[in-house]
Amino acid sequence: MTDIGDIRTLIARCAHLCDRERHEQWIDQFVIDDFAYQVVDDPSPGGDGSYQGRDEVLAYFRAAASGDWRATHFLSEPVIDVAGERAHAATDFALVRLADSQPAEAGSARTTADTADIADTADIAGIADTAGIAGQRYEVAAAGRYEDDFVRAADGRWRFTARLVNHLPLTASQPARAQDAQDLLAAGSANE
Amino acid sequence: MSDLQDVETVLARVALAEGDHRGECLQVHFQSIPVVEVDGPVAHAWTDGFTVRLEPAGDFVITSVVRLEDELIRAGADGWAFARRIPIPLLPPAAPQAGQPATEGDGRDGGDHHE
Repeated sequence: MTDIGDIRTLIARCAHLCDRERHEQWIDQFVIDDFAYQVVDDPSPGGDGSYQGRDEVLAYFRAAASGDWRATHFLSEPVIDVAGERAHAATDFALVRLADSQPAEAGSARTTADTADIADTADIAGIADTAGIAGQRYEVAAAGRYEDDFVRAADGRWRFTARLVNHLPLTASQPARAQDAQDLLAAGSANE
Repeated sequence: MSDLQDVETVLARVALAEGDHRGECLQVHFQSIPVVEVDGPVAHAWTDGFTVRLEPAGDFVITSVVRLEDELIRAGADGWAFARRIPIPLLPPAAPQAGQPATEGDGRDGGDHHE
């Protein structure tokens, strides 16, 4: 694969592992020892912070581990710039979760085994089969942008050196950023 | 193209086809960047997806969130074919039975709100 393909997969794998609470695997295999992790404008109370090194970052994730699947991060196609042995990527994300966490009526939740039967007998897409089950409601709980830095390690594989999680703030709008976005839009229009 | 790109293309085509076969398509399905692992003639892919539907009142609502766990097999020169798909919907924890904890045996692994 190309460098950009490798890094794109690395970003996707990070979301995949973190959503499944396999933080140890991500930290052990895909970040450098001195990995830096910073969260800005997190809508959850006490969510902002800076963490340095594998142990500190892992402790941060473990503190919020729930043992249950509650939400999923969806990513845009990342914009990746590679410069020699270093790279940077910007990726927008949206966190989609159940709108309420009340237990479902008994029998309304399908299990893996149930859905395996569906995959064997129904159309392969398997998407409509799960839509609107038991009338669940979902919501976008957070959104923002990852700013990631990478380095190519001695074994040739890319690893995270830093991640900045920049949330869209839920509180009052931030004029400076809004103006930045408008400037970008204006610049984009001028280039079309 | 590489095997990985071929598998990703198959996954994307299926996602698009899911919307196309409806008479009046009032919903769109979004899929995450898949994590694909190719092992010779077999490929495994993990993809998360959600569906947005246009309601009669004009609102957009998310109607489902699902994890797709796929197994594909190499199909000669034509690329890859699905061998199995397991869709796992995101649902609230099942109501606990008498004497059982709520999370026991629900078959789903974890997820949190950290980015």
